[in-house]
Amino acid sequence: MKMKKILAVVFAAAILLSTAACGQKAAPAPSAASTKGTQKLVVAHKANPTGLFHLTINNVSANGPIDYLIYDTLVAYDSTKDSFNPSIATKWEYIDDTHIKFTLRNDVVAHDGNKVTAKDVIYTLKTGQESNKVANYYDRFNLAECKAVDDTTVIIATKQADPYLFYTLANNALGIVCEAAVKAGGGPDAQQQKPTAGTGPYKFVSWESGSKLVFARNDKYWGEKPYFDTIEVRIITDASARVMNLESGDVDVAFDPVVSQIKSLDTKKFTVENVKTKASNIAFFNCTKAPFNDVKVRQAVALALDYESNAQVSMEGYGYVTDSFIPNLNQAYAKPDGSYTNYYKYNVEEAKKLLKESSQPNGFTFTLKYMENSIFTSLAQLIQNQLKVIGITVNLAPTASSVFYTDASNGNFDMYLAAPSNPDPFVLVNYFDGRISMQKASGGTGWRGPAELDALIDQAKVTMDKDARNAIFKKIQAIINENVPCLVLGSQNRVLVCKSDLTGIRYTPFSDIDLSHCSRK
Amino acid sequence: MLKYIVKRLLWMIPVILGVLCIVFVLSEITPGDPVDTLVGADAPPEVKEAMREKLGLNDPVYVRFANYIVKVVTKADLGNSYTTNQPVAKELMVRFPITLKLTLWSIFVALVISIPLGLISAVKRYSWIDNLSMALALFGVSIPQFWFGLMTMLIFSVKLKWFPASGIDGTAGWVLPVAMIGIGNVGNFARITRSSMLEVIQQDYIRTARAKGQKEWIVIVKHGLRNALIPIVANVGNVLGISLGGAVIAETIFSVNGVGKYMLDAINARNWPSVQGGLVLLAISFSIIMLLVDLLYAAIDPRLKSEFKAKNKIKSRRKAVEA
Repeated sequence: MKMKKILAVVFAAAILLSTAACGQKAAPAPSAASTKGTQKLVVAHKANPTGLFHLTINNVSANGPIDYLIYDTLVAYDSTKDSFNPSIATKWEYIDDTHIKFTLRNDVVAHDGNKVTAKDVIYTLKTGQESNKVANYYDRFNLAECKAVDDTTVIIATKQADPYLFYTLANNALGIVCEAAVKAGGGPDAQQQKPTAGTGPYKFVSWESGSKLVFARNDKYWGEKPYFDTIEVRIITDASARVMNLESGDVDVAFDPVVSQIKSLDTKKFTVENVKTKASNIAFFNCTKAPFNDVKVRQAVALALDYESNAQVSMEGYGYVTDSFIPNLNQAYAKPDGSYTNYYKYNVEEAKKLLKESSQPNGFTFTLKYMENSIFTSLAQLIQNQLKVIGITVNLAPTASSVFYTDASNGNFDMYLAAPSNPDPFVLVNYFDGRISMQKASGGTGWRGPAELDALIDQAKVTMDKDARNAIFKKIQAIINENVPCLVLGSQNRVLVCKSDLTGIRYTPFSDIDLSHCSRK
Repeated sequence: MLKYIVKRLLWMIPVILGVLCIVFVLSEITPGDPVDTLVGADAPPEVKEAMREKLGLNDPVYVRFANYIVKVVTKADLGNSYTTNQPVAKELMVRFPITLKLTLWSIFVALVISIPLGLISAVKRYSWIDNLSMALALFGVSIPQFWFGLMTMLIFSVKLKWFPASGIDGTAGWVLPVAMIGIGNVGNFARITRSSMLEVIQQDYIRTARAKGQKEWIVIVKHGLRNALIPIVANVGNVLGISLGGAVIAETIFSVNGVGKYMLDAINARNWPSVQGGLVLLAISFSIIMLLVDLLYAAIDPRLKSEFKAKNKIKSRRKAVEA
């Protein structure tokens, strides 16, 4: 009897202790709606950030919407005009192809109150480059020649002419931090958990890793006064749950919803933001080994796919068909004009004919790797079905992200699906530049193009005149598209759903969402 | 009894070492490189190499394993998370109370519903009540938890707006995740209660109790249910242990920041310190739960305690004779 009582007490105590340990409050959960004159925005985000100091984390893309609340960039991107506006920098001028002089505002202070000057811009570039975590953004800077002329003037130098530099400057990876604030706040590691060195419109308040982040209005913000008193970013990994949270009124904005759910939303209450992007869904061939080292095999595969219906089915109307590895919205895109054979056209008979003439006349089997999401899963199944018609068997291999990137960099694949979103066309071109290893390009195809292609790429990289550069890109696209080292499977739109009274949602050069200037109508 | 408890606690050491060993081997043979997670797949090779050296990944496997064990045993240091660079122990301690609370409440809810359901089914065998409750139990066992979670969210959050769809800031936030896990277990517990009770109520001592003129509810609850509890308790112990690490679905859907979700994220990111730390915590929790279950057996059924005591007496007599 005594033992029974003890065990009953243990069980009851366990329940009570666990309740107490969770810091339980009896009050009901606050809803997304504003309460008593205060304005609160609740956002459903899909991923937990790995850290909040963007200069020393490697996965900046997952942090995009959060970084834009905390940090400002030198220039701001206007996605409607594909142009750049002043931000911390009020004006800029090219000294020569590799040096740009920026004039900064003199009223910018970090969240901890320290003043931000030109030296902080240099500190940001230096920290980013030395950390090597965001090398693809910071490698381009020639630090030896970057200098702070005075408090409000800074010269930024690049290693070579960089026509698309401003896309990077407007990216969250280049958010400016205040050196004094970083040091006062305990250094970069401490900033990962409690950032105080940003200058953005919202200040960090708290972070329950894996659950939610809370930000408060920065009353010392140099720009227009931020609208919301607080912004809460909830981490809800399941896409269906994000939309249901919106429908229930628990959140105001849901990122990356399930497209099929969007159609059933009440259009009076909710707005669907459906924005075309510069990101493409691309299937990369491994051109270093059979069967895809044979151009005829690649061309046959390209002709066997129905691009129109694949884009429609996989993206459910929230995307568009592309006909070059550089997507249609990119400044460097050139529409195929008949000067080369475009293989991104559905023609099964021609595909069969080409396969017969190739090194694999009787068909073959290969493995398609991809990271699981609704679009890639759908695309992979469509590719599998359509290639079966011409005698090619596709084994589908959904792969975890960590293994996927390693395999892509090491050439351990036959074909993989990815969606590069970088608006800099050279990043895309790098995938097909045979002089750059797959390791260096973080993937690609291993395809070695003709010497003419190398020369064109080199020439484009130093051509600052937009029209002249685009003329070169046209030739580059002709060579690459004709040799089909990849399949272009359409560009997906950036989709979010939000309450109808929200306005001011912006899109970044990398198609991220920026809610820092969002308000209610 | 104290001796038994100490013995069982000591047995946990090889169990945990075994778990560590298995996880370590699995992390070694799984493809992919954690350095890619830390510095990015596109980082220069020299940066990757430096990180590999810093983490000790260039050391031989046995050295790394030994280092890990020494740290865990001497400093309770489970290492730092590869993704957040925070101590794993600290991260787990934030999440464990949440998962524990979720699990205990859901089991409580499941027991409150399932035991009466199983009792009624057994007592009213083959009646419409039995058929209905077993159909409900079958439904509970069969429905996919993921679907059930989304449906509860759709009905109670989106349509009725009774409970929040995510977050556990207030009491209301706990209702749906607890209900999701709890109701998922009702079918299991109810079926076991029923079958166990059916076996017990046919025993002679039940007939004797009835013949003595005991009230029916006393016969059923005091004489019947108490004797039928052993398999139920065993099952509850298993479910409790599994739920501590496996409430992933509820945690994912309702955005509850628990151990299951933490480990799932860690596995996806090849964040081995977090995976190992989580498994150590779960192994300890599971072992303690199993110990409590064994103690509960003795509390429920005094015959088991007597058997244990008798065995000990025989042992000590043998020793005395040998001496």
